[in-house]
Amino acid sequence: MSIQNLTPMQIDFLKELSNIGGGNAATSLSQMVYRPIKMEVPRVKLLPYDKVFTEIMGEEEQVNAVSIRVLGDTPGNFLFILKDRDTMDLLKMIMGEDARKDLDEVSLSALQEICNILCSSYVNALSRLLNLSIVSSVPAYVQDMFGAILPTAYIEAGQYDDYLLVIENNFLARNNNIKAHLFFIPHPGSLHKIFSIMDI
Amino acid sequence: MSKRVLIVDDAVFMRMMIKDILGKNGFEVVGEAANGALAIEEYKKVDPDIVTMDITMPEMDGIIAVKEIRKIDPNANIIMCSAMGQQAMVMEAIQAGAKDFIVKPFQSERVIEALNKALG
Repeated sequence: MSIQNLTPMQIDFLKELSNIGGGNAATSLSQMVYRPIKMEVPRVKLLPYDKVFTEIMGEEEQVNAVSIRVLGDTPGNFLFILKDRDTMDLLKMIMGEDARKDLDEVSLSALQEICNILCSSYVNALSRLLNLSIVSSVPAYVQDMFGAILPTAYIEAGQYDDYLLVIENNFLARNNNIKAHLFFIPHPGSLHKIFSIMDI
Repeated sequence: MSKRVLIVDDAVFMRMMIKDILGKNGFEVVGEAANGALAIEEYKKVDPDIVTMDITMPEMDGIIAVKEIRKIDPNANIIMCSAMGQQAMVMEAIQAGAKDFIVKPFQSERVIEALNKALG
């Protein structure tokens, strides 16, 4: 199916799917850090490739990213993205005095575990909602420019279009001073399967 | 007489799903709203027996909407229906005046049970 032909009802369902997945993910993260984690209204939007970098984040922004593969009935990718300052602040929130100034092995492990917890909760919620078997893979860390990381994740998920289907949750912590982005990037075939199940 | 319900959720799909569950269980859906601000207007208009309220919505979130509706009607029956199930959020909703909290994804029995309990 072409992502450019999505109906308003299908977009609406993806918003709710992102709301349920992201909401459950925020709950799990808050249990891990013993603090409230807020979530913005999810963004589900078909964006022309170049608009992604004006609407979401600048192409040259240096970011820390963790990617996780979605396996099972609805394959795809998750991409968890944080700017440098937000990464260190989030790690301080989790590790307290033990947080390092640089991203050493322990910090990277903590960052990957955060992503693991977010994505596992997300897929568990989707799995219950859709009555499908969906699991997530082990996390992989990468540091690069936003403009290099995001397109790669979309290509890996089989989305080669001029338009990107953005399904994004933004999580906020510590009085909204820390912002983390989670992108859910389903394979086009997974979308088709989800819509068939929901009969939309 | 069947109880009259107002459904508040920004997703059309979720409103349809809840409407379907309620319809099959003898409730009457008398209104729908896509955000907190519209929910307040709809509440004044239809004066429902009970409201199902999402939290994460554009314009005005569900917790502010609960507080505003309870100002208009201190006896308003509202149950939250949200994916944001963390303890702080549940507490905030209950303190705002919500009677119960259903975490999405939910099973239809849980929705009916919460509505019946809140309606006493």
